[in-house]
Amino acid sequence: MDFDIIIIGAGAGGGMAALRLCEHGFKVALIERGPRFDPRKDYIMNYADWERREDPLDHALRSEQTIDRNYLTKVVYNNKEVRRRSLRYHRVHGVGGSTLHYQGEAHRFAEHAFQTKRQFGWGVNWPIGYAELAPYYAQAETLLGVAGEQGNPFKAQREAFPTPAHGLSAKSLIMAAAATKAGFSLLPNTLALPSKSIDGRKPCQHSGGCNYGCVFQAKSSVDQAIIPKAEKTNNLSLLTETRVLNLNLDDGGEITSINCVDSNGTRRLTAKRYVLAGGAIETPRLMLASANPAQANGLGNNHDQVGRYFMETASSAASFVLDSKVKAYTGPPIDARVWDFCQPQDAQTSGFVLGLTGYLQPSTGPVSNAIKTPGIGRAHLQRAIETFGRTLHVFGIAEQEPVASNRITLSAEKDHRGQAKVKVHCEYSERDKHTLKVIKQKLKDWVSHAPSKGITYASDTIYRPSATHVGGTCRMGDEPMHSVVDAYGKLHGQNNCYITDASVLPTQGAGDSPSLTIQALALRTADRISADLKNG
Amino acid sequence: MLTSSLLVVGGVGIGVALYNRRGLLANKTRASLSTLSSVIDTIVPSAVTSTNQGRATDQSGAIDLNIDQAIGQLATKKPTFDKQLTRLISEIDSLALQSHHRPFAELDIDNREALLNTMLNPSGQIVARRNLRMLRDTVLDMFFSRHEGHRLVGYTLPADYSHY
Repeated sequence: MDFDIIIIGAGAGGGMAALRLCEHGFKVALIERGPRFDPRKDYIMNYADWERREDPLDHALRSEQTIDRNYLTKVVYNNKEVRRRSLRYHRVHGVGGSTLHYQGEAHRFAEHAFQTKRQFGWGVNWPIGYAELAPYYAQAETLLGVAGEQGNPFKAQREAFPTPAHGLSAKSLIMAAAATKAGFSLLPNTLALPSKSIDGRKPCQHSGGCNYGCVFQAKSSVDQAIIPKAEKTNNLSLLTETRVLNLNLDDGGEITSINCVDSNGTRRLTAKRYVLAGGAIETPRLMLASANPAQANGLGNNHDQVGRYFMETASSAASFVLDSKVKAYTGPPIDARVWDFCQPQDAQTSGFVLGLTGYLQPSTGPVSNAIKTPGIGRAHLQRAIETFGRTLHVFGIAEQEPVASNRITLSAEKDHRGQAKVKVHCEYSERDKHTLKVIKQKLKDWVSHAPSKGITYASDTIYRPSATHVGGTCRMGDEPMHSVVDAYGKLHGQNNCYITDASVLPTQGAGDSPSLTIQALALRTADRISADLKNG
Repeated sequence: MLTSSLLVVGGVGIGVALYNRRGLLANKTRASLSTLSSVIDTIVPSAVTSTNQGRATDQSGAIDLNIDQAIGQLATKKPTFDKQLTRLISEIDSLALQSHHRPFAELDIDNREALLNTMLNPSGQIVARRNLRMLRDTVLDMFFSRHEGHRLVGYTLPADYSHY
């Protein structure tokens, strides 16, 4: 065997599992399709002309080769049946995966989010509850130096956070007052943006630039907070810019090796255990594409569950300009959240959260703002000064109902390496659509109490899907007929394959961000792999 | 910071850029080049201009950052841009002569601003508006993608933070 364990994907789950397994003394190969970025050289926020630079973290988004864009789901929109836009799969190829561009949100899912079926009669129960995951949440939070404040009345009671909560930014103080008037509460967010130095790294500098990669190396993305620790064990082999082409299976359906390709060509690697961590689209794609007579429908797919229960980011958003003179882009990008509605309010509505952000994008940066501001001359410049950095975006993210027919399947279309692409089929349930309506109304109420001239732009994901958080395509469960992996992330009916990414999530945590849960589950799965290997 | 040769037009120190060496602008007169520089200086006025108009400031303008030279270099590389620019300069000077009996570069900043804003008005001539919009946006892009532009709107690039 070349390695004890091969992990495919160096994102939130793969990186965390690699660290734990390296610490347990195993030789681990961590394979990443993208490069290892240099935060001081590669990220656009190092440069004054960042607005016109090509963001290297958007490489996967720009050059997406996984999704068959000719396959589009039908939707009734504005009373007409149309095809939904193609999924904008917002992920990153690079060591750290999507944690490179995430805004550091590190949420423990609420207790009720693990048992929506039992409590509310829809969705599915997880095979584990909050109590079983809580110790792993704590371990992940410690590794990441998560900043937060105890006492969130909508979440389980908990111990103190590794670093104190960030104070609310000026924008959030204004919007907290507006939230109170609208009848709900804006609370400090829990963030993997340490408020105090950990591991010798700088604490969060409140620049608001998380989305483009943290130039301060302060954000606890996996490349900063996790990989260096794994490297110190001398047990990690990090293979970057290496793509796994397929999994080779034996007559019993077990993985015997993987084929991967890098700039030197293709090669075959072997290990005692294999961990899939490519995300909720690439992991099922790889499994479906890896078939043999014993696994004719693809790896782990004897019950036709791989790729099903796909969940995207069902959300609604609104933009507006604050009348107050604030720099809405400074501070952690999403430093506060509304959790009042994370528990479903009635039978027609799923749980959801609200939030706000003002971080600068190429469409709101200094250049774009000046260009969009009408006129020429001194008055124009004065208006540009007055309006810069005052655009805020409020949003709500719903718990999308897991539905078997929402799924990833292989397409006949191939990518440049001859690999099958995927067709993504995703329709919203009546509950999803109703929840988005409720969110839209809440956002309207919220903004109406803010010092602003009102909403300038509103959108939702009914027609134009969003995929910042996707999950559910290899969900965990006790029954192989209705799930792909067990409660420890091990493939049903397999002995040497595990999954540690968002595909194992049975539900979406009532709109909370999934990365911390993926990481806590990855640590738990790594402990299981460790025990399996030690027990022979 | 004026690195190019100077013309003093309408009380405004304007750098005549290097763009008159090549491209279509090579055939243009010194006055035309002054007009172009004056337009650029009106889009993002220099400190000198502003002071002369009674608004003291230490803020650099587009000319101080040699954006006139950068526009000239762009024109030499992009013939279409150069053509649009040439036509725009001619139209601006025609309008200035019609309304004020003086070339654009000799107008004070209030009149220059008023004239350009009139051209940008949707009721104005379409091609002139489009060409002016193109120049305006290019100048603003060049200015606000620099530290001086950031400073004007109170923005600090993460790379300029003290703990970077």
